[in-house]
Amino acid sequence: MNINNLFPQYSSTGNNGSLKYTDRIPLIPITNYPFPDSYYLGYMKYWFNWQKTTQATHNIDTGEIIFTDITDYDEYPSLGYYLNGGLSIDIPSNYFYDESQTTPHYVNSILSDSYSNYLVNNFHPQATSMRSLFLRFAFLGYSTNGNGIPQNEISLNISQFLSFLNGNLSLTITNTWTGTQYTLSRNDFTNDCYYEIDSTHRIILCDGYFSSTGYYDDNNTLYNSLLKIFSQSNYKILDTSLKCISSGEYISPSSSSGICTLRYNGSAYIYYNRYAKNIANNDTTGGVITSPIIGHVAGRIKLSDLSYDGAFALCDEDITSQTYASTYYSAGEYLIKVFWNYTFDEIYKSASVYRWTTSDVYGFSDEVVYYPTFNPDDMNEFTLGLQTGTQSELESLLPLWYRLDNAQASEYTDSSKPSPEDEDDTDPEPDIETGVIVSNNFSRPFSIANQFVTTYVMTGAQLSNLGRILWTSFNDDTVTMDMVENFWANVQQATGTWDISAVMNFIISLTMFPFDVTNLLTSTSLQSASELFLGTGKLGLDIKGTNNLYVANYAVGIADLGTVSIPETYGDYRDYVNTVISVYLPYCGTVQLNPSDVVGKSISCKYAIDINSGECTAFLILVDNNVERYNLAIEKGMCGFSIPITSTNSAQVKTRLENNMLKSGSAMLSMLQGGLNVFETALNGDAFDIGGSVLGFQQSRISSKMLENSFLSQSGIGCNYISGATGFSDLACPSTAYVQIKRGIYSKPMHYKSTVGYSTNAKEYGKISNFSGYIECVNADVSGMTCTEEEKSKIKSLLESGVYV
Amino acid sequence: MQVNFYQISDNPKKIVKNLGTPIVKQVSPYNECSVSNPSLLLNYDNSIIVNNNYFYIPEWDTYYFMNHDVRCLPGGRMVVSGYEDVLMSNASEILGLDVYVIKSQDNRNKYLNDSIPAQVQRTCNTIAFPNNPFDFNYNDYPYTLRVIGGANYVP
Repeated sequence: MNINNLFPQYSSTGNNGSLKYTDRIPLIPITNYPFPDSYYLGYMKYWFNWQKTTQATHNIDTGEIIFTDITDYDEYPSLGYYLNGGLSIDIPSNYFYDESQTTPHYVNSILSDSYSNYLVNNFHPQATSMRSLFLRFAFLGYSTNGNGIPQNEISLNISQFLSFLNGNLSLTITNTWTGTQYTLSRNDFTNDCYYEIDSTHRIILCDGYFSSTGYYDDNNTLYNSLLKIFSQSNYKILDTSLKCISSGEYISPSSSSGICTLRYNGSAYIYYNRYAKNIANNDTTGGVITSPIIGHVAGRIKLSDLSYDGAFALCDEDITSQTYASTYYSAGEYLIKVFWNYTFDEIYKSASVYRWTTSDVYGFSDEVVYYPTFNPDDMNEFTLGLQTGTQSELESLLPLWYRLDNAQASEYTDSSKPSPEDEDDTDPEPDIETGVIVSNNFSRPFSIANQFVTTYVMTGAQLSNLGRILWTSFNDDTVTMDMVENFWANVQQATGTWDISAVMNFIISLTMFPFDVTNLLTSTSLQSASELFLGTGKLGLDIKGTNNLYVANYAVGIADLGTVSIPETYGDYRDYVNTVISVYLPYCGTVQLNPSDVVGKSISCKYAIDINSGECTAFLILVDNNVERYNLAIEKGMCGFSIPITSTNSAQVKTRLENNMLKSGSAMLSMLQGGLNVFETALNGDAFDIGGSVLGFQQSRISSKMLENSFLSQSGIGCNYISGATGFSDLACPSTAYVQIKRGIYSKPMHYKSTVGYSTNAKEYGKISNFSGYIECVNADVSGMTCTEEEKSKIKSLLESGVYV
Repeated sequence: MQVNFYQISDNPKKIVKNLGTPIVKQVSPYNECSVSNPSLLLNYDNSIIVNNNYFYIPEWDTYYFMNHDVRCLPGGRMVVSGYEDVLMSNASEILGLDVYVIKSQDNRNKYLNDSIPAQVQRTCNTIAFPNNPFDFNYNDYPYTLRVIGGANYVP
């Protein structure tokens, strides 16, 4: 467990430092009493984002830490503190005070009044940039009603409270200087974590945050108002640390672009920026530092003003080997940890035992500072920077949150419900995708290197050179007359004939792909070739030009199109119902996937492509937790285009070549070149141009008597899509694979849950009194009731059609 | 016998109704008086007609929804009838029932289909795979030529 995950991740860049809430504490009910005699309540952490020389001094008497010699603070302007954990504030119970009105209101009435807006007056927003207010409430819930079941009473209150937060609350704050109102929009609050102290006490954590623009709580007005809002019957707020930042003196009054984010999470959050006041210049009022001054103070925090009734210790990751010196504060992170050495019953009692110390050797006692020097990124392997201590003492230093996260749920003991062992229809464990199932062979095992067939990989220019040599066009520097004559001399020597058909018979196929074949093959799959040889070793053609000519050793290349995530939109069943997920695979078609297979997971896409035939096989692979699980779909297609160059009429062409070109025929050459240029143009263009140009060539062929006996065979005019099932129209389709998710737009009706109710787990079994609000029962057993059968029948019918508890 | 008249605003399907201060009246059964659908004779009181919609007969320990059909009789009397609220009358036993709850306001499995109506429109979100190898370029190597033999290609 990364302790940082317990808190919203903070971004110092973008959006003016708004909090990003990225993780939540999992719901882990705990029944084991978590507190030993000595325990950890939280931690305080401050960090440096600047990377240049930094110094700090501290004053044990005043508790001040002052940072100095921060250079280039404009580049690294971030310095922050936050403090988590907390002790108690005893809030008058069942009391609610509305600042906008003159009379107090009871929370219960607020809950029932669908209270929708709370106005906080006397609030001083001084900045206008985006702010986020993160709220974590640690409540001590306890039972006061002896008539009910204490745990249920607490749960009911929590439920009501969260309902209040989520359903009704928004905050409007007023800048009393300008009269401007800012609305803090609410984000979901949850009670993701609680632990049970005993049957009548629980500590409940509630998380949520508000975001808005322009608030600055220099007098804790908002906090104090929130305390009044959120304090209600049966709760105590376990928190003091909000007081830690009570004074605006230590939070610089920001300019319009300043950053000063407060986080109320049962704790305090202070973020300093370059607008911190300049202590070095005796700036006691705070304000904007308008120019970088070497030696200025970036900020300071006065521990004594934190009003935190605990002990503070400052240490880095290995305090046992560090001394407390100015160089101690270099780049990196440091922890200030807070411990409390009282029993749980004393949590919410104030104390004043805190000590600032530089020593790294301490024994355990009730009033000294402990130095657990665990790495906050690795809570499971921390080492304790103490020279004394027992295992139990080490364990006692585990932070509260760590205990919460690692505690196990208690065994099911409610005797009023049937125990799981009594169930004769217990469901098997649900299917869970485990193990690595995918065993696709993407290792290019298909060697085609042999003495019978050779596959050359060439550029368009090289293919054009080949055409020039075969069809004796030597009007550029690449293909010379000598090359052509030598070639035909070799042809005559090798085949005993001047017939070009003897040459063309060596060619099996020419295929064009919509990608660079060399990118598909690894370096070991390619081999450089000096010349292109046809048949025997005597018929070599130098067509390389300025590029390398390659021979492919393997028939199959693998293209990895990457991985995409399929996120949830609603976070519930609606992501799976009335949702159509399809994947478009270029040259293969479209595949529809089952939403329950892929939502919340990722899909990887790979193509295996036969570079000889043009056939391709697309693999859609489910990826869960970065592990490829299994193939969701395997689709076949064609992505290679055949360009036939063999000819049944090549002998006729060859005759013309002999008669007209090799001997003198310049006119013939130019005409042939005209035809060849069309062919070359086709090769040079993209796939569409190939078709169009060849069509043009066909037209010129019709109009040209000379070209009636073209070197192109009748059957080979134009480019055929190898598959035969599809044609060039496929090339109009996108070349990028993509996932398309179509979801219905849901409109949740008003009061849905209180009039229709949500579906529950099938095993939601228990006494009706354990539920609240609207419920519907199934096959309610009323046989034990003492009323008449007629009444039982009515009651059963009502319970099954829905009642309100 | 005694009857406590109330004015309630709760949903009739609420098990335990919120009762205010009762108006207590002495009544007599009217004609053959059913326990589940009683008719009660009492002195005329228009406040009962105007203000009350619910009553409780302590002697029978039963709660009733009051019928709208209040009949006024000569001699300053009136007949009030009602029908039993089986939920409130048996609330304590009902709350103690062990039941399977399939729909709940607060206990929810969010991955079970609640059949919340969807509009006709759909959202369509398209996510492209990050790599696109199908980018034809004539100057690259898009062609393969298969030939017979050709084994002497090695430089």
